[in-house]
Formats: sequence, structure tokens, C-alpha cells
Amino acid sequence: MDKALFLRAVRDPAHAAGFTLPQWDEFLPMAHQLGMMPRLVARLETLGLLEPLPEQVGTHVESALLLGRRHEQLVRWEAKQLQQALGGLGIPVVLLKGAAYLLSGLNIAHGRMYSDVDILVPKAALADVESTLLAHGWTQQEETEGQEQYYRRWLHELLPLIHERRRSKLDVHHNMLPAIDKRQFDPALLLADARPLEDHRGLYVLSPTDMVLHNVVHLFRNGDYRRALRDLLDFQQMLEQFSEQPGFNRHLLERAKQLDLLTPCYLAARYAGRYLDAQIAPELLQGFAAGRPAWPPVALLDRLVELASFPTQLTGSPTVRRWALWLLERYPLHLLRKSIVPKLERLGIPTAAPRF
Amino acid sequence: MKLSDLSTAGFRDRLRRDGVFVRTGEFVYRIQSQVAYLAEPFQQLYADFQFIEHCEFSDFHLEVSECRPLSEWFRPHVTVRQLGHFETTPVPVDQSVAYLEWSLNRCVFAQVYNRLLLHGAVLAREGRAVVIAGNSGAGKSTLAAALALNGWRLLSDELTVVSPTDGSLMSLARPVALKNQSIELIQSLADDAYFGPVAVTTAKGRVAHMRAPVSDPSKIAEPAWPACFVFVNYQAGKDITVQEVSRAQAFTRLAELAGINYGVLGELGFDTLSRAVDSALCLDLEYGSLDQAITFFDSEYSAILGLDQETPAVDEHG
Repeated sequence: MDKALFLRAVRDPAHAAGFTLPQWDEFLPMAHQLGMMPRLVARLETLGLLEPLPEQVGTHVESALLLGRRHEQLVRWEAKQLQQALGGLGIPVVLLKGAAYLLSGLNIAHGRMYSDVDILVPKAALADVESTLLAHGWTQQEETEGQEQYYRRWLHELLPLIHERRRSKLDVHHNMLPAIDKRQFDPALLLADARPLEDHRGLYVLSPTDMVLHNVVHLFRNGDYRRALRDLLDFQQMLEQFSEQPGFNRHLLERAKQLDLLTPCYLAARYAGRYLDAQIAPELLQGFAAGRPAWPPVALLDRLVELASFPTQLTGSPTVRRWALWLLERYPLHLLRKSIVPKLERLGIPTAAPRF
Repeated sequence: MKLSDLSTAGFRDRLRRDGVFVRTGEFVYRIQSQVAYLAEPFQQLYADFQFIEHCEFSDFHLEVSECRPLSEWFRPHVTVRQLGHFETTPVPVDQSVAYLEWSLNRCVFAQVYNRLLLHGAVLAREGRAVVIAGNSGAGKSTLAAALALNGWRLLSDELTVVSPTDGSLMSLARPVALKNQSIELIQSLADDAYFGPVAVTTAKGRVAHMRAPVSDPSKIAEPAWPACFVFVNYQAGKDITVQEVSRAQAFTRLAELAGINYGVLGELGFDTLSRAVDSALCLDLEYGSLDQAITFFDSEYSAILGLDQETPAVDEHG
């Protein structure tokens, strides 16, 4: 199976419905590697295309369907628990990423897998949020003091909390960008524009523009490329769904400029266009073009992003993918500091506190 | 044609190129490896399995490969990788059989969510199965191996796969994993059974695999229906005691032993497990010697369930 065929099925699962058995044989491990099976079968279910699939793939299709449904159920339950725990604090609790997609009813939530739930709260309320969560059964992991301090000082979130009974993971963010990133913007801007969830009082989601920006930041600014193809698919489908709202594209462009996020937008549009044939509005493409990075050369990024995004069967060995992920985690340069600073501190070399 | 009908060189060659296909129950594994050490014990352990020339679709693709850097200078190390899923940490090559077996189980435990999975051994007579459950180290596999050598049909050693549609238990007939003293104990019961190499692992002590005895190859893939759940507990030197367990209690214990899959299945898992337990006898069995346990299953147990009490003909391996 070549890249084009693989991407066609990722982009439009209806193509997978026509796969022959040997094609499934190659496709399944690749889809699994990228965590795409539940999403793919959820789409096939919506299209009514589950019936014609070959019997032999039944175990995997049924398993992916059940897994997707269960994840959805668990995240809905988790959101309820969060609402009960934090509802009394009188602060906005903003669900981020997957949980936000699910509770605001976006199409991209179908068949999504969740490793954790992410929330954003005002930095001033962080101590209150933390103590309230601890009182409601979330626990801190046993990590070294240094790691805890590292999270607090240099990142944008606390060390993940784990619920003692449900074993679910919760990431509490107070910013979109890690403190180590010098090009900051005030996270209060995001909170000010957040939208309340109708049937979950006290819970919010980011505004559509900020939701898209958070998606691209996660990839192209914070450097987490492990689910790059899924994130690009999210980007593409969010744009499709949101651009039905009048003026959305203009808002997105203004907001990206305001928050200095044109570069991640440019890269997301570039790779969504290349891999997923995303039809992005010309006005967006023109606006994003100002964010084209001068360094490193885009051709080098192209190669690295491809190695990190695709299943290893299509690009080379797992070792090569690990290297690409490792390098991308350190691009842009502020992320290099992210990995160097804790090492310096461990050696007792003083490092400057981040500037805001 | 069975896998044992291939020459050792032929088997090794297949392993190296297209891979060897193993159909066990409703799952097909494709296993590829350049590791010469693996070929002989692997072929022996799966000797009775059907030889499949080519399979268009395999459920799980595994690769056992040597780790190149440095390890060869000291002692060759290998990793087992399932395509698209996981890769084990490098282990010395003499543990490759044990880790491959462990990985074959892991594939099912981690990826199959349309059937209920329990930790336990399954043996059957006349289509009626006894599921041997218990905590790790309780003597499940030892008892399962002993019963299998005494004419019971072995469906599975580690993995109990329950169908939510008809409640049947899948027949995998894969090798039995024995640990520590059980290895010699079972070897002493069966002179001509095949045992793979003994791996000395840090986590579980010594581990060796015994080829699953097959008395009737035509029945190897036949499912069975749960007639009894036995919670075993081996206590050296103790006399055998058997006590009936309430179904509610058996249900709770099994749910605890079920692992991650039960949680994901939700209502489907609950219904499947309660239906399986509802129609079965549930027992606590404490035993101090295998002889007593085997006698119990061949006489009293069979009488309770109305099975044919005569010991069935012992197969060629037993």
C-alpha cells in the first residue's frame, strides 16, 4: 500500500470500505499505529458502510467501535465529575482538546480516543483548583520534587493529576504556551472569549477561532507530533465545520495575528493541504503566508514532519520516526531550552526564570 | 498438512521470508523472524497446527528481531514487535520463545474488545468446559497441563475468550506456560511431551512452554460452553478441599480477574459474564497434589455434571 492510498482512506474512510483483504492486512497496523481505527469505523458507521466490510476484519472493526463508544462515555462522565468538583469555585473551567470537541458536538469527536482530559483555568485560581481537585479524589503522582518544580516553572500545565478510583488523567493548564516560550500572550484573552456549555453549567470551551489555534499550537509550537496526522485532520475538519459561520475566516486571521500564531497556522495549512488535500480558503492561505518560517528551511521541516506523521511502514524504520519526533520536539528553539534547562538545573547551574 | 511436516530448514526459511501463519481459534497471527534460535522450538511448540501457505489477512503481525548495537558482543538480545502496536524491551535470545508467547497473549488482551477476556485456563470434555481461574501463582497452568495430559481437551492456558453472542469459549490450543517447579513436575508426568527451552526471567522466575496435547485434531478448533468455574489455590502438602461458591461471589471474583477489557465492554461485559456464571457450577478448589486434583475432576466432578466417567483414551503425547 502506498502513501496516496493510505492517505485517501484517512481523509475519506469511505475509500477503506472498498479495500480488498490484502489491503486491510496492510492498512490495519498502520491505522492502529496512529490511533485512527475508532475514528475511521465511527465514520464508516455514520455512512452505513460497516456491513460490506470483509468478515475477517470484524474483530478489529467491532473492537474499535466499542472502544470509541466507551471512551466517549468515560469522557462525558469525567466532565460531569469536573463540573461537580469545580462548579462551586465561580471561575471559568475551560475544557480543551478532545473533551471540548465532544461536548460541543463537533464531528471530529466521533470515535476519538482520549488519554486524558485537559482543562484551562485562570492562573490566579490555580491553587484553589488544585486543592479542590485533591479534595475530590484526584491525586498527585509520585514524582520527584524537581519534576514538579519543572512543570510549575517552565511549562503551561501542572503535573498530570490521576483520580484515585477512576484512574483517569487530568491535565490542568493555566496557559496555552509553556512559560519557556518567549513569545507569550495573555491567556486571559482566551478565557474572556470562552463559550459556556449549555448543559454543563460552569464548564466552557474555547471560542471556535481559539479552538483551531490551540490545535495548531499543540503541533507546531509545542512540538508534540506523535498524533500529527490526526491533529491535521482535526484542523481540516474544524475549518470545514466552522467556516459555515459568517466571518469565521476573517476572525481566525485576526486572532492569529493578535496572538502571534501565524507560523503554526501556516504550517498546519501547509501539511493539511499536502497530506489531506485540505481545501483551505485563499484568504486564509494568503494571511498565513506571512508566518512562513525563515529558519529552519521549510524543505527540512517537510521531511521531518513527514517522517514523524506517517506510519513507519510507509517511511522507514521506527528508529527513524523516533529521531524525527525527537528533533521536532526541539523545534522551534525555545523548545530546545525546555529540554536543556532541567538538565542544567540538575547540575546546579542557575538558569534565568522565564520572562513574561 | 501440519507445521511439523515442514523440514526445520524449510520452517526457518518461511519464518525469515513471508512469515509463518498460525491460526488459533478465530485469530490469525503472522510471525516473522530472522532469529535462527527461535525456529526449532517454535516449530515444535506449534507442531500440530495447520500449515498455512499464505493468508491474505492476519489479525496480528509480529516480528522477532535481533537488536544490533553492542548486545551481540556480549549475549544476543532480541525484541518482539507487533506491527503498529508495541515493542518489548530487548531480552536475551534464550528468552525469545517465552516473550513471543507472552506477546501473542498481549495482542489479544490489548486489542480485542468484542469478546470478554478472562485470565484463566479452559479445558473441556464433551463440549462442556471448566474454566480454571485464580490469582497469579495459584497453580492454574500446572493443573491445566496435568488435565490436558490426562485426556481433557485444552482450549486455552492463559486466555479465556468468551463470545458475547452465544457464550461459547474459544479454542486456542496454544502452548501451556509453566513456571519454576511446575516445569519438572509436569515433565515427570509426560515423558514424550515437548517442552520449549527454559527461560530464566527476572519477572517470573523460570518459564518453559509445553506443546498443547492434542488427542483429536479434528476437534482442535471446536468451542465449548462453560459448565464450571474453578478458583484454584495450590497449597503444598494440603489435602484437597472443594467448596461451592455462590454465583454472585464467583461473578465478582471473575470481574476482578478480567482486566482492562471488562471495563471497556461495559454492559456487554457484565451481561456476558453473568450469563456465563448463571449456567455454571462455581467451586473453590484447594489442592496439595496433582493426583488428587485429577482424581477429583475425573470422578466426582464428572459425576456432578453427568459426564462420562471413564478416563478417555490418552493421546499420543500423553
